[in-house]
Amino acid sequence: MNEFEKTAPALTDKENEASEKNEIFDKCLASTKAHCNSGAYLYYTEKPRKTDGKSAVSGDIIGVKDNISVKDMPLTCGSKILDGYMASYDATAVKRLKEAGAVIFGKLNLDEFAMGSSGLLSAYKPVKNPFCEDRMSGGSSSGSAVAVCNGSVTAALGTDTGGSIRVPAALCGVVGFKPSYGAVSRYGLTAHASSLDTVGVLAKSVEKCAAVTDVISGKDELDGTTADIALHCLKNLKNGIAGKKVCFLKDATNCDFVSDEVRSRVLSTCSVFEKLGAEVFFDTFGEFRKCVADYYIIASAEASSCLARFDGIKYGHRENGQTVDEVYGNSRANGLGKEVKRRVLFGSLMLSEEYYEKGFINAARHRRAVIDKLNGLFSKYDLLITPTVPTVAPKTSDSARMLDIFTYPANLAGLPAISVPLKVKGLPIGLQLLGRRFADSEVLSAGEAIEKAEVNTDA
Amino acid sequence: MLETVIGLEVHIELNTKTKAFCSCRNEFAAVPNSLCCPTCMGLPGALPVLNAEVVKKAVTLGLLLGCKIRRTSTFDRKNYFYPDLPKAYQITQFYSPVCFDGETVITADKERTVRIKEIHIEEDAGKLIHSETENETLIDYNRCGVPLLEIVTEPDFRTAKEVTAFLEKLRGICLFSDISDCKMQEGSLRVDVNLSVHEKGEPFGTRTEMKNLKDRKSVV
Repeated sequence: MNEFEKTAPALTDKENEASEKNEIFDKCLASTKAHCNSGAYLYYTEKPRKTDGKSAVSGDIIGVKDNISVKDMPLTCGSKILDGYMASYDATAVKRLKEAGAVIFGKLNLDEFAMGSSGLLSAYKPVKNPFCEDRMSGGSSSGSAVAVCNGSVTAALGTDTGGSIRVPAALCGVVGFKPSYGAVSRYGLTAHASSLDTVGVLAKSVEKCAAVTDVISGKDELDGTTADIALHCLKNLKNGIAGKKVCFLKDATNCDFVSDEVRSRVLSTCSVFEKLGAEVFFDTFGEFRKCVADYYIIASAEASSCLARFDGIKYGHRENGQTVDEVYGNSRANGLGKEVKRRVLFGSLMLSEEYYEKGFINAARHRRAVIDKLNGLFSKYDLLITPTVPTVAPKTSDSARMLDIFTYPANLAGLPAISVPLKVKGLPIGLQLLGRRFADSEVLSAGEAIEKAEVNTDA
Repeated sequence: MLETVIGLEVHIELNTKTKAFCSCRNEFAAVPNSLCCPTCMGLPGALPVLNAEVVKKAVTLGLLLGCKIRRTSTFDRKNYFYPDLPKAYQITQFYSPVCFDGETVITADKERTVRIKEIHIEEDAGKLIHSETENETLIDYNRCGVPLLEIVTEPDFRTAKEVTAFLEKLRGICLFSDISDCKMQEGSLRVDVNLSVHEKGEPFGTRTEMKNLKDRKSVV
């Protein structure tokens, strides 16, 4: 066991008796140990706490991305500035899973403070793609995708601010679901960008994602941005897509940086949709490139505020100085990674007097235009389709720059989106489906239909 | 003839049972760090939820000071670094304060109408206790998140007597309508004075701001 894998504090004798021999747990634990070099885990417990509660997730072994608070487990956010910090409360999503009988296994590695799409930017260790060690796992929910892929967990909680669930899901060949903004409570999620952050789920099947989503979603008194809407994901899972209008976005599929193998595999699903009874259309979104700028400006601006609290004063890593400002400066300069500092500085610049209008306000206005454009598309179609990621997993020596380009719009508009793995012989390829705000069960049932159809496909 | 021109920024701590954005008890002089939770401590992942009583008291005070009330009012973050501010931002209202354009009449040597520019809701910061003996400062987060109303007047005062009359009237209103106990010595009433001097008939002079005045004598 390497230095980064710590075990839980020992249970009392009484608790020890209560923790029954659990076959599923043993399998997960064995898999975790077998894949201990994957970089996916920052912390796990060998002695699961028995939980009551009968539901579709009873007995499920859940890994939690390490920017989500789990009581009495470490919370590092993949950063040295939180080295040694122990969470003192459960995030609402975690609390609901525990109450539903799921077992929280451990904390999963991520790109530092959820900033990144490669899986290489954790301050602790990089995460490796299970299919090919010298390729990216994707990020920032890198550990979540890899742990699911390796069978170390039944499902994993991840977070998606610009594509951070869907990208690693696509590169690791698992299902990744980003719910609508406001569907799942963010209480307990370390904020990166408060208007974009979403808690979501990764699993091997769409059905498991639906089950977890049902448990974690719903109004929360502790999060004023949650909506009082029941999603009914499992109930609607087998609805199918007969009669639905499905639209492939041409400026995604025909984009010149989409690889030929991804383009042809994604377009080959047209016939699958038709066979399932859907009407297939082609149309243009036209804003993918502009969304990249909007995302970076808005997310960085919000991050500069959300991450200001990490100062070494109250918790985590502190470095000394002669003055308070020096303590702040030294703690943050040495505790925060390069990419995090880059984004915080850029965000501060976008909010400064000189750049506020042409930077932040401009991006916020264009965000409104993007939402209107998507609403326009949804007045004609029920689901929008793109490749999740333009290529298969890039080599770790390559750039991760364009990985999120098709995933940003769902965050800017707060829409539900899923990445479903397509059956392939080589490296994984993900298909992205987007739906209307709060039409989460519709997106999941479409994903389910594709997943079941793919099982019968010759790749 | 020289004339002093004075405007006030008054902060009052509301007497709600719980804090502005969490359900911690709102109490003065409790054991340090005993009235805290993830939200007012700014722990990672904690979120604020607005206390409705705070809005009720803000609107009540606004109406009693002749203000217009915004039907849609928003909160903003004032970002700065200081050890008594756990989130490194204060939740306040900058762009759309809940009350605006009010006025009230006070009587000192003569009657004066004082215009109320705005009243907005914000949260208080913690308390730093500088040790006399050790080379350290202790931080008490009990006061973090305590609800404040900031009342901003136009520069309509011309004498110290008028300022005193206004503060007495404000205190009376707050006590009578159960909004705040307005005790300067306990910090539930704080006054910042903005003052300039000019020749009557000429434009206003350079404004001087005096903050953190400890008691009525300092204000006068």
